[in-house]
Amino acid sequence: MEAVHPNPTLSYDLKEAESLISNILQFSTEYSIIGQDLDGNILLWNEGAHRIYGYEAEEVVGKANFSILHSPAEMEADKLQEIMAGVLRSGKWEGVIGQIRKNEEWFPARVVITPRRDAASRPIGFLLISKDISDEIRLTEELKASQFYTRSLIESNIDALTVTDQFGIITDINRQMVALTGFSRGDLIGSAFKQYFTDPRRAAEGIARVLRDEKVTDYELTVQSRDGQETVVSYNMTRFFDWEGNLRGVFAAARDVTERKVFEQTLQEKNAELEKANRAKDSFLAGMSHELRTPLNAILGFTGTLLMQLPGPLNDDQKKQLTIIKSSAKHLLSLINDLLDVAKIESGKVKLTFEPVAVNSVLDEVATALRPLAEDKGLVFKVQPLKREAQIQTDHRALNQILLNLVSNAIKFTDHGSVCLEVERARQNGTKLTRFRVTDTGVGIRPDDQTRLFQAFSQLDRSGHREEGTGLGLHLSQMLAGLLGGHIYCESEYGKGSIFTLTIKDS
Amino acid sequence: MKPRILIIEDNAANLELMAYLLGAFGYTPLTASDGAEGLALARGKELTLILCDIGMGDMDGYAVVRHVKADPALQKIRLVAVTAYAMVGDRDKILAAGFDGYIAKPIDPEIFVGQVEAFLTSDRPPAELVLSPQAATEPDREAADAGQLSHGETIGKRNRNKRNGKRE
Repeated sequence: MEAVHPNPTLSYDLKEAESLISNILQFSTEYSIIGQDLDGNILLWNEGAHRIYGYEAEEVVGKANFSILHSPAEMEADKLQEIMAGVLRSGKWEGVIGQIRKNEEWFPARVVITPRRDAASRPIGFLLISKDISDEIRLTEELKASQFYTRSLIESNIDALTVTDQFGIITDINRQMVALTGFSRGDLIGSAFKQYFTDPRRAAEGIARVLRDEKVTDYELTVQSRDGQETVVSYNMTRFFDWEGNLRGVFAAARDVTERKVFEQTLQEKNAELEKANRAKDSFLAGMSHELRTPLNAILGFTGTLLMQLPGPLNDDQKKQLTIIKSSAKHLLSLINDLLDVAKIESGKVKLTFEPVAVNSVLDEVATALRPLAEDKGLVFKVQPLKREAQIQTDHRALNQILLNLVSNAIKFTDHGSVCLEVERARQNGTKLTRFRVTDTGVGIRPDDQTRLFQAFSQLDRSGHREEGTGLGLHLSQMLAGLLGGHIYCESEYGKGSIFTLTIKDS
Repeated sequence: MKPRILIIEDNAANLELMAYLLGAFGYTPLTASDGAEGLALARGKELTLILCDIGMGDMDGYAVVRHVKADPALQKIRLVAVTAYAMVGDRDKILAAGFDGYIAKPIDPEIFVGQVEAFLTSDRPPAELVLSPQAATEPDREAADAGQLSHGETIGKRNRNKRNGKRE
């Protein structure tokens, strides 16, 4: 645009004004400016009109009626005639009306209509300035839809949601929050978040923490509702920023965990009950052990004093019968011991200590303990230790107990020949293992019986040896072997002897 | 003069058994059937050893050891628990409570007096006499018997000799 002269002449002003108006008309591309006569014939058509309606000026100026710009429905309803009449009466009409483009597309337009008058102020036509507002309306509707969507999300959330500013003052809530607190939306918004909890300090601390740390999860608070009802909730909170990056406040979502709490409480109580039952079982076992030993003490004790002939000499029958009492009482004692061991292993009460154990020294211990027993029966007792002593990581007591059991069984069920205890180190599928083998030349075990050998109280009738064991020894040994990460295998030929092998993998 | 021994045991049969065994070996033990009676009896008696049951009514063995070890007049007396609490851990628990020794029930009458004497004659009883039968299986226990039978027999013979000697 040209610069305005400091001292313009009138003629120049007129020219200038014409040029100005012409420019405004031509370059107002956002606004359609249309001039028409009283009958609606189009006389003026600017670039904005071209852009908005799609018609070239040449197509419409002096050739078309304004009715092409309006929907037939509005034309029929005489709505426009009314508007024009109103314009003439009041000098101006402003509003939104539907318009039709050249391509027959409908669109909303904000329109200002003013009358055109001649020098004598007689109306000679109209000037219509309009703007296509379809984008505006679409944006508004999208915004509405988006707000509705967001609101629905907020309201349909099962959590009680609260938005606060950075001072912890509530700026928005959903209806779950209303239900949770018993306060109205109006009460809640603008009030301090912390005041709705039994521990306001902790609530405020939660807000402070989320503002500092960005996020807080599983933050437990107890809501105190208007009528005093308390609800334990777990908060997940996050801070949020506006689009310019300014910290605006906190989104806080509370989930009612009362039920979970009740569940946890129930679980805790159940655990306590189980714990109690377990303790009762332990104390029952301990009590049983104690109560059974106490009378056995007197039985074995006085049988012993009699056999020691402390009160006076015994005849052979008395000695024999007292010896039977003694061995039966001892049998009862070992039964008690084995039963308690089984009970303890089954209730997981056995604590093993894994430490380096010298294999040959265990063999020595077992041999020292049982050699006299074997030799008393006239058996050859052979021990085959490792050529080079090795240490394995295992529980000494359990290993000792298993080997004692296997060897004493072998002695028990062998009347002639030998019992041999050997050990070897081997490798199987890449794992090193130790194999303890107890071989006897005893009565052996029938194939059918071999399968139930390790079951409790499955003691087999092995040629009159039945009364000698508790029926728990092998069962117990196999359990102990399992605890050591090992296993006991049996091979036997009835009438020829048995081989029991304990295999323990290196851990 | 034989060292003085006090037996505290609430089970009459077991009290009699221990008293009889010790008596047979020439001791004259004092006896009490509960903790309080035992403590009352212990004062002023110049005891060397107390054999004490653990599971007793009003005042159990743990209470007895607490009192004895806290009493300057009694704290030099050795205390050996003779108890039917013979499950894993009991021995350690009892020794930790202050007892000098632990003998599990059922006692072995053939070696019992020998076990007791070990606490009379040495400041530190040999570890193998602090026996825990629970730690062994049946054959182990039998073996222990077998292994220590000679000891028992020696005592028995000595005792019989003594008794005979007394009678003579």
